Amino acid sequence: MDNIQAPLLIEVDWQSTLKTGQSICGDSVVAVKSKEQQRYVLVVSDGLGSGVKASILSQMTATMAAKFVSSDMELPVSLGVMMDALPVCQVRKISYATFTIVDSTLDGETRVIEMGNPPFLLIRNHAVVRNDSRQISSPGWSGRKITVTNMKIEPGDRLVVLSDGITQAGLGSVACKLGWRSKGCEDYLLSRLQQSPDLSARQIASEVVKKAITFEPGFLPHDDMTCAVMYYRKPRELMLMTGPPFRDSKDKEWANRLYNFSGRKIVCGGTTANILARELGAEIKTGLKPVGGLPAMSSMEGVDLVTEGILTLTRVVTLLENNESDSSAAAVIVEELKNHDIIYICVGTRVNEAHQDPTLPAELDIRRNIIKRMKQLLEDKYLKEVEVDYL
Amino acid sequence: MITVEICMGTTCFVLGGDSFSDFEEKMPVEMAGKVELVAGRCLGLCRGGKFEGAPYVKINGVPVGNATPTLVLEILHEMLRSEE
Ligand code: FES
Repeated sequence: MDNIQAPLLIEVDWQSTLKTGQSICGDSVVAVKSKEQQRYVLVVSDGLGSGVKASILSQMTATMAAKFVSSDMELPVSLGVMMDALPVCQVRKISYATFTIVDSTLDGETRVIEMGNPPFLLIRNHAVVRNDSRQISSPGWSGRKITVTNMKIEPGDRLVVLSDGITQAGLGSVACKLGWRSKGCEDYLLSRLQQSPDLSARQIASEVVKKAITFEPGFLPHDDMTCAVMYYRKPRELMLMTGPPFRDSKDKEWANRLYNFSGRKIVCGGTTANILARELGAEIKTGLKPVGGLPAMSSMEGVDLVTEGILTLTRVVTLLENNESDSSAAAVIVEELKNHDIIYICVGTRVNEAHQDPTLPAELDIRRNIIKRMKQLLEDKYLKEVEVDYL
Repeated sequence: MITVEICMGTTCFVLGGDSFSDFEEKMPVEMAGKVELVAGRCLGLCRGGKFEGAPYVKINGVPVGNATPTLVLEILHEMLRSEE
């Protein structure tokens, strides 16, 4: 396993479902990306009982926990302040809401602070990793204990936090007397990841909740259920090349840049594709039948996707703008863009061999404007990192 | 075998190249096995503002401007007849 020098990307997502008959979830999740995105804090809190009261309690707890942990206070101090502030049930002497706080930096340093929730799961290389943890308690905490785990995350790790609605799914039923339990969920996660190693945080969270529901008699959850996932991975990179470089003496450089790129590769533009194929000695095959009103995709060895240029890119922008999809090559590009984190767009500025042609600057302008708009959309609406390079 | 390269480049596509989308089905049976269809990506014929000739098709490497399915079929018939 290679060590994390390059910053990690942390994909965070969660899924909740309500206790049957409730209209508001008693579990709350708060995620905060802080300090110029070098750190991620995730809190899952489960309020005592269900419904509005539980929801307010857990929301309050989660928000407060996220704030205290994100502040630069020493851990014991911030925990003390937080525990004093959290309401305690006078009868049962337990907190009104449990919590799990995950605090991760992009270089992998992570601490998990837990009180009352099922223990978190750390999955690495198709196995669950157990970490040493310590317990903290204080006389003023009326017996409540906090577990703190410090660890170094590695690329590819997934950290899963569950509310007890998941681990207790099916509890007392004929088929599953003791409930699904953490172990059941663990086994399920491992087998799913064995089948599909690339599952996103969102997919995992939603599959776990769906699976948990199947253990409940009549598929009716008897408690709120929440699964939150932090997926630590190397950012996915994509290069989109469109237009031949301004000087044809740069064709080779252009082709090498694409060839040497290790991420996903897309070429938009027939002439561009022709030049690249010539430089790389590759063959291109193009479909005859337009799909979705746009020229068909082509295939070229060494490139993941080859499409026509301006028309397709214009459609890409429209689809991104409206968050839509269709059957065209543009929709395939949109899907690729959404699935990647860092996007390099290389725009060639050669318009044509005949530079005197009065209609040419217009074509260049169109390409520039489309790319400008696309960059803006990808950054603002889809939170991607986009780098545009003109040659 | 006659090779027909139909341009699917931007200019040709916009100016009527898409009318070739069902060309394969339009070809009469007697052309089967004698004509090969290939899609091209800008055949380089629209360069220098020669848009008025688009859509372009190349038949055995010879450019045909303002190509329509009907025109191309006519040319193909002609060629096959003279081959016989
Ligand atoms: S687009 Fe057809 S020749 Fe250029």
